Amino acid sequence: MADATAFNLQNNEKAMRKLLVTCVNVGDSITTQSGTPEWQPVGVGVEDSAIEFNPDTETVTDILGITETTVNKLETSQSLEPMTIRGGSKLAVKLYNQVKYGRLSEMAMYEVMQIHAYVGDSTNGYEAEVHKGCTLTPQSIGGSSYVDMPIDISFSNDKVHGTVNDYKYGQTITFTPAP
Amino acid sequence: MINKHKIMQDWVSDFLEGQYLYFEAADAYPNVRVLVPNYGDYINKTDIFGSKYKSYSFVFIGYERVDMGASYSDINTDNMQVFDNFAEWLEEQKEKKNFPDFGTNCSEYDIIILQNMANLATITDDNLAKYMLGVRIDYKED
Repeated sequence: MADATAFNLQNNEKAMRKLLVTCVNVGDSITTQSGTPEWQPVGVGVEDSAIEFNPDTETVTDILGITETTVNKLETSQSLEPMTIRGGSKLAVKLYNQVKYGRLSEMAMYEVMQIHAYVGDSTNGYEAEVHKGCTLTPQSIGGSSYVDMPIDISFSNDKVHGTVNDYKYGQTITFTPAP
Repeated sequence: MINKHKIMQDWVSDFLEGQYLYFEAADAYPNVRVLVPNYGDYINKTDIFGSKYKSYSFVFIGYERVDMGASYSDINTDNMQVFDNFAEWLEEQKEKKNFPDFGTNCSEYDIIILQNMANLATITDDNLAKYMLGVRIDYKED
């Protein structure tokens, strides 16, 4: 997939937070030939959440006094809170069952997509990347008025780049891998 | 554009069963009921999809004659019972999920009664009392 050359924003226009969307595949895997992936955007009721790159860096200062920093890896993750349990959420049901029966290995088999809707457009699609084999870790369950189940997403960096037709919550989102 | 104030007036009017509910202001007479909004469409927070979580808070006001000790009547306790009944009616609507309908883009309603009982705000020289009960309607607007 070619490098992005510009954002679909006016000069000096700030990108709205809703243009960065994280979705979890609750349908069939994108790697299977048959079946249909189903992308569920996550973050309803979440006021603030960032995709953290958590870079692992190493800094060395040589005998000439020059400092060089090497980035060894990015351990990308995202925390979402409160993630209140809501009717109709297939992801919440999956996580509930995985916790209930201790199916911990299944928690590391998620496909998670980052949609960067400030790159691209509705005609040619918005840029997206699917990380295969991501780990979703429920942190707790409970709360005061409602039942919350905050989660951490650990991205795998095993990526498939592509585009999506839409990014808005409530719409059917379809991912198309880049040729 | 949807008139949320009118929707609120109609919704609360169901409690009064035919008695007129004034909005914002009314002359003070016994048995007059008024809905006075505090913050219509106040945004509490916005989530990362851009959905707005809003509140419509209002005060339900009623005017009633009070007994200042001249007799041993039940007038004062009956007055307060009106507002206890209103609070109970609100709890019932919450239980039945009978919320004011602010349009198809609104959901996730909740009713919060802001006081455990109505407060007696003022008593005029002619023994007319003003009772107030604060309520908040929370909802999500996409």
